Amino acid sequence: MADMHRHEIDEVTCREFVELVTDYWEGALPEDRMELVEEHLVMCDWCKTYLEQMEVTVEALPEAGEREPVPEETERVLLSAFRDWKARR
Amino acid sequence: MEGATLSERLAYKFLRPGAVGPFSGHPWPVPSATEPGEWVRGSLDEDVCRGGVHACEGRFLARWIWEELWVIELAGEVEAHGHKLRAPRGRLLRRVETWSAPVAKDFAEACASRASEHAAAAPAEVSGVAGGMAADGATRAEAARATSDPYVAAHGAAVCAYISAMTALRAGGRERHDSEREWQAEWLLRELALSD
Repeated sequence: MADMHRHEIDEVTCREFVELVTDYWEGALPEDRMELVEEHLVMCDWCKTYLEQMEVTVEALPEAGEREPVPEETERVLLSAFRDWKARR
Repeated sequence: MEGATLSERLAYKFLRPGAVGPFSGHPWPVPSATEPGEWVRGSLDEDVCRGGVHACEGRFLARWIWEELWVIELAGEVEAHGHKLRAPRGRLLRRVETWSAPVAKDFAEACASRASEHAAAAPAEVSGVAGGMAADGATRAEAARATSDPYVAAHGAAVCAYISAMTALRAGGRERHDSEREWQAEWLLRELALSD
C-alpha cells in the first residue's frame, strides 16, 4: 500500500509489521505503535496469519529439544549479514 | 482528545465469537440477564489486556470491526490514545445485537460503493490506482455478501471500510479521508441504533 499519500496517514504497512512483530508479540511496543499494529491486524489477513505462524513456532520451540551449537564461522557470517542488512536500511 | 482523562464512561468493544479478545485471546465474562459481566482488570505484567482494558468511541468503530460488538463500562482513569480508549478496568454491559453478519455485509457494500465514488472523483494522475482500489473493494464486498462465515463478513466490512478511506485519501487528501471515516461512523451508529 506504499504510495504518495501514505505518510499523510499514520499507519503500519505489512512490511513494517514484519519488522515490528517480535516487539509486538513481547508487548514491547510503545502505546501508539501498538495501536497502529492492531489496527493493521484488524484488516490484514496476511499479517494475522504471519503472527499466528510465529506464535505456533515460538510455542513449539521448547519441544524441539536442545539447540544444536552453531559453528563459529556460521555465527560470524550470519551476524555480519544481519549488520549489513541493518546498515543498508 | 489525545491523553484526555475521563472519570468513568461507556464505550464499545469488538470481540471475537464467544466474547474473546481479538488480540489478547482473553475470554471476557459476559453479562447475565440481570447483572453486568465481571470486572476485568488490565495489567502491564500480564498477557491479559496488557497495559489496560481497551475500547473505542462510536466514531472509531469502523477501525476495530470483529464479529461481536459489546457495550463496555470503563472505570478508573480513562485515557484516549489515538483511536482507542484505555482504562484500568472494564466490564461488559450488553451485546449490541444489531451488529450481525448481514449488517456487516451491508456495511461492506456501502463502503465499496463509496470507494467507487471516491475513485470517480480522483484526479487523473491517481485515478488508475484509485480505480483499482475501488475494484478491489467491490470484489471483497461481493465475497463478504456470498459468505456464510461471520468472520469473513466482519473482515470484509473492516477491509472495505479501509479501502474506502484510502481511496478517499488518494482522491482528495486527508480532508476527504477524514470525511469518509466520519461517514462510516455515522452509518454504523445509525444502522446499529447507537449513540457516539
